[in-house]
Amino acid sequence: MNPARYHELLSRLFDHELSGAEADELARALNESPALRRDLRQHLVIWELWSQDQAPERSAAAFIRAWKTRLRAESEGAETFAAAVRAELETRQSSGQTREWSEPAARWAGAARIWLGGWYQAVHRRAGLAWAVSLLTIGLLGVVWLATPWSAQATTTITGEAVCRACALHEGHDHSPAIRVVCGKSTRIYYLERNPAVAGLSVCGGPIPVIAKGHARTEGSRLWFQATTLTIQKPEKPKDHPTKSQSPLSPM
Amino acid sequence: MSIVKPVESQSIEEFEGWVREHQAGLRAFIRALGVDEAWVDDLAQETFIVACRRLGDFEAGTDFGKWLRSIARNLAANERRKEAQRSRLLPFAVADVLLDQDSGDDLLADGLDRLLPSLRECVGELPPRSQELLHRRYTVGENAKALAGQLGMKADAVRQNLLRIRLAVKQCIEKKTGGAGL
Repeated sequence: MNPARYHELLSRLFDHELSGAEADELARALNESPALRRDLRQHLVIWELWSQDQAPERSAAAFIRAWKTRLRAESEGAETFAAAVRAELETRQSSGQTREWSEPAARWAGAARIWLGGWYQAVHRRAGLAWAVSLLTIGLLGVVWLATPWSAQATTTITGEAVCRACALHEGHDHSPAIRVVCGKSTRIYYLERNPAVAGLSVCGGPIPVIAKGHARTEGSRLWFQATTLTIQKPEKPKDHPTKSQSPLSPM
Repeated sequence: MSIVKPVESQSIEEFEGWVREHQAGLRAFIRALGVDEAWVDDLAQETFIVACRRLGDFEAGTDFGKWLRSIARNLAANERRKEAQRSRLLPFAVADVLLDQDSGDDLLADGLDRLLPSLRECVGELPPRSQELLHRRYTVGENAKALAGQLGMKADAVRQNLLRIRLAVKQCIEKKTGGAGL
């Protein structure tokens, strides 16, 4: 391969415009020439370092902040989330999140309390043991039947900051929003599902304090949030990105 | 590359020091493995998370940077199992070569601290228009097509300009460092 063709393919590679056939052609040339492989690696390294040095969202400080956020989020996982929700249901108090029950859900919660009370009384009246078993069976069937719609009816309110998944969380090049909730040493990331409530939210300029209402669900180790309403609060700080003077590149 | 004993580190705060020290070189290494530029930080974060969890596996007295790079290489190799459109790699044919051939370790063995100052100097010596083009391509992240639309040029012309700039900067760095920076 002559140098002109190599550089043409290199330019197309950097622009994500290399076709399958061109990728194969470049790969063959690279396979045959250690010098070309070294040249390609050098180009990749030079401009990677330049990007780290110049783009605020790729600075050392931004990288470390994003890594810590991810470490916390992944350490907690879905089990912690479920436990936290249970705890919050009991206490109805938290620093960043509250849960409200829709009317049907509240009705079912009331019905469950009545059923549990009846079952407890029946068990304590020995003559009513058979009746208690029947009540228990009916109750369990009811729980199974209600489980899905009950959780779906729970409305969650999240108070946190809307951040860009690409610019702030460094998760690929999808510039869609997520909500970051920081509570002491704990950080939780809710990935926002695309819908009209979040359509106008632009987060690449930095975190935006928001209050979101909607429904949370877990998928794998991630929390997803279907917002029904999203309210932007008065921002406390203008930008997530550190200034150049705050983010010197750490020497290796 | 420093020889470290991170197994003595007991807290995330201490581990953060190692992240701070190694992040720039690791990200550059990951890019050189053939990882797409948009996913370099993501894979580097993952590497540090895996390293943090497997700290007990690290052999004290050996090269921590090399250990990190081996984790990163494994993670990048795992990307090959994904469908192409979901992968974080460059086109597979090219990434395969970069992953399989050479270790890439020698590229940054002792040159990172010399490379960056030279890079800054060399870019600083470019004409303002070339610096602007580099800024838009590598800081803002616009590709040739987008730049062409904004600058009233054809995409091929933008690519040619960027190619000349890249070659000029690379030659300038080699001249300043005597090849040691790369």
